[in-house]
Amino acid sequence: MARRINTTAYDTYVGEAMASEDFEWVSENLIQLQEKYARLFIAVWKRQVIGVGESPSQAIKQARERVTESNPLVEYVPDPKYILVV
Amino acid sequence: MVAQFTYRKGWSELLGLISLPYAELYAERKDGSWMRLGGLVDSGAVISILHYDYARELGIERVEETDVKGYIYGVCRGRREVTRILVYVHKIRLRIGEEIFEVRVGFAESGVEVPTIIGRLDIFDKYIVQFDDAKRIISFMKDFSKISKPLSEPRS
Repeated sequence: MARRINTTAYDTYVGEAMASEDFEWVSENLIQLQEKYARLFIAVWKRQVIGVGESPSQAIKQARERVTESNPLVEYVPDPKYILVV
Repeated sequence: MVAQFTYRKGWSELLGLISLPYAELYAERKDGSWMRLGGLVDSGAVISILHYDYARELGIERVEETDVKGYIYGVCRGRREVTRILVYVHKIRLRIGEEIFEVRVGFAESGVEVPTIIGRLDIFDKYIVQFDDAKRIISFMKDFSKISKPLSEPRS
């Protein structure tokens, strides 16, 4: 599951990196995901959104209904209207 | 090096393109399997904060039954003002890269919208966490100097 990140888009930095393909996919497509799923939880499996909900459980439940054997990456999609300052 | 992640590019209506340091974590369920989640790494957050449902997914049945509970401040769905959020602190097992360790996290009270925040408690004391904004890379590194060079030899 873990593999080296392709950092070519970010200067010439070379180093060890661990991220799943699903995590990378969310990173690469966050802006498009924000347009569609802002302030929702998404469940990502094999580079696809297979579950969505207002809570992680809703997203996971939907994901399991669609792909029974999935162990999706669960993510909260930030709202472009807000800047998170914690 | 334990793990390293490139920053995400997100959109803010106020600022336009912004960079967000996210990390991928694995949280252990009661049955020994690992749940995968991504979260914003926040060096200003004292403790990691997770949505209430994550506790249920991990198999913590009585989330409210903990001696350690308290309030944080955040923004809830449907409300624009900053509001108090009650969190219940539990110890869970997390994995970053290949490293597994116990972390105290705060689960927000039921029904409250909170993003996944990876804070300092029980994480930043185990790694050198480097935010490289110029290269947009966040790294979790072991402080080998502390491990290999004790301040003094134990007395016999």
